[in-house]
Amino acid sequence: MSWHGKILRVDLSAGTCTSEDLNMEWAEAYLGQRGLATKYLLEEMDPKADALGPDNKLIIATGPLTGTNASTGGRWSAVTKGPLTGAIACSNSGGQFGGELKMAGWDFIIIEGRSANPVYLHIEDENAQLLDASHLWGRSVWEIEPEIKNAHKDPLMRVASIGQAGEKMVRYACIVNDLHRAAGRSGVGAVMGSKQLKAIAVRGTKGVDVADHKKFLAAVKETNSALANSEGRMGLTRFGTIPMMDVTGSFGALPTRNNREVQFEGHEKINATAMQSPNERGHTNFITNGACFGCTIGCGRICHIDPEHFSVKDRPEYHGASGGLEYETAYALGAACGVDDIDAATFAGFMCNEYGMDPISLGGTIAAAMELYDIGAITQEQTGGIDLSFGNAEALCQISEMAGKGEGFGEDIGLGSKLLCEKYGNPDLSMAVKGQEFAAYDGRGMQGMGLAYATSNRGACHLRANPYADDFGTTEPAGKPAMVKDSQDLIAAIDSTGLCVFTTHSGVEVSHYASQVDAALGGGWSAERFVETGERIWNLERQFNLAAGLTAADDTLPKRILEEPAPSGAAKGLVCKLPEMLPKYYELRGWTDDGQIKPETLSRLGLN
Amino acid sequence: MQVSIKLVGILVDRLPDNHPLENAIGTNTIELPGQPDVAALLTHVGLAPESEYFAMINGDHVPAEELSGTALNDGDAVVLVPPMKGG
Repeated sequence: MSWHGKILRVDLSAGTCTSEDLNMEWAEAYLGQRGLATKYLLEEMDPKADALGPDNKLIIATGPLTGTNASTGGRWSAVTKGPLTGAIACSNSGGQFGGELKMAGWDFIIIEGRSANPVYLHIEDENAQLLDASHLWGRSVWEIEPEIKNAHKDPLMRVASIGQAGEKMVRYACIVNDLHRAAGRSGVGAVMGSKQLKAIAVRGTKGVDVADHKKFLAAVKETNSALANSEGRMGLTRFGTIPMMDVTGSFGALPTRNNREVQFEGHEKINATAMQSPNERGHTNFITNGACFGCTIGCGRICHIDPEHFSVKDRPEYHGASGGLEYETAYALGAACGVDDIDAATFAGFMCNEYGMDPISLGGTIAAAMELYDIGAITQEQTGGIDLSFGNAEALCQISEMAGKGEGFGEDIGLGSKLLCEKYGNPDLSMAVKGQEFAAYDGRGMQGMGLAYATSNRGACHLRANPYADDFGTTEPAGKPAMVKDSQDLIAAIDSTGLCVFTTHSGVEVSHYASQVDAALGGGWSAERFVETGERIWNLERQFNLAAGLTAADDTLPKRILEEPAPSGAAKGLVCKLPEMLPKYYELRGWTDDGQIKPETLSRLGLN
Repeated sequence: MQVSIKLVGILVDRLPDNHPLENAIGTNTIELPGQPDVAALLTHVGLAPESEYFAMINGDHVPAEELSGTALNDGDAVVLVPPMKGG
């Protein structure tokens, strides 16, 4: 089967690395990656523990299809208690790291305690050791990844690390692997920093087996065929996710200037056309697309900044290529801040890659700071003389770099929008759920997304439900609760396989996921069981959050989205009808009116 | 009449070689004769109107099944959208 059956347990307090067996009974119930890691977390730690304290655990988790030749089968997750939210954090990444870890013979790494000194974890197949990282501390992802490879004389080694943002425990610091892929959301990098773990470097030569070779290859071939022929897949390959800018910009669901508006007059300067067209000096931002381990979609954007752009004019170290703008980064570092400069947004994105920050939360926090500045709650006294007006591209670049380094006002930006807005006396200006900033959709134009944000177990997120087609079809709330609930369950299962959620809109059906898992694990996985497992995982995450102290009061949206009507677009005059949708959603989930999981639901899902 | 048309994402690859758009991946202003509907606009640029994509006219959603019969007015901004999601 595709599990090695092995966990690497790393006790940073004791400085030990030990091997133990994967709990196969739990793997049957929670599949892998997101689901199985949440089960371990809930069993092994007190959900009330300080997210940045030694009692929190950080689990690096693969799925049963990670490292196989299933298309997109290179995904891995960092699962922990999130410092941005106080809730379960499950942050998913691609690149090559996950496949390499699985090839080394490990399904999971469970990291616990706190090291007295900076260390990094070095893994070569079954050999794992903690090594001194004091010479790497205080340095960026872009500096240390090549240095670690050089130190071990192994260019094929794969590295996941934190930059200065993680070390300084920026609340939305991420873990970056392969230089520009990231377990991005909820602050998983800050947890790694709190443990003084700078990097995980892995080299694997063992390979990954599957239970039924012939059946597995047939299932993979059928899935690949669906992907190859899908228009959704073709669009992602050619343009990535950024074409969505034209959809939300036209529809009126593009959060602009901290959600004051829902359409951005500058959106055509930061869209797919702008990315792929030469500017007035003949420079084109986009170079080529990029793919993660085993992926036949290749949605990644590899981009470079115009060397004459103010952000990099005298800084040749930033003239090279790195991961460029996706729709979410273009929104957060563009429209959210009122910035219509694609190279400035790309530079801010590069800062996220280099220093290890989530660009969505960074952009959302800068947007909140810009509104605080606009109303006079923040002045240049706090910003150190920086004019934080909406639309100021220079300020965006400067503040992004300062946040990554934890310098000056960048330290306040590192708090995230919730703590920042509380600090400066305007908590309602944080466009976040459970402390995590909105993704690139406004919950008034997209009512289903509003419900998805409010109920997401890890705080506001665009990747925990799939309301897109329905939301662009209607703003009527009646069908949203069922649509959101069903897609949340499906995505929870997909996130537990080792596959990428972008397959959901690229022609891949539930039966494809189930048949690949079934062949890899040796049978017993029907489409029905797959979806039911997703529902179990969703409720397991809810159990963690309830035990951590979250309540139904946390399943809400900022006042602006609930009370201020959308000023334009398809939803002009509408607020998010969350109060109408939430009770129905709870009912469909089998939860009480106050958001507790009913005993019969726990029993049905085997969670009691 | 004059309308503007913007093709989102992969739709640009659906255009025939002899399409009339000046900049396929940008926003184009085009002249249409008579009182066209959205389907006539699609035919004009060389796209099949029966496909699964939908349109937005001045921000209002027009589902695929209503592309035929939804009239256009002078100055309308039409955005054509294939199946997609964000990320």
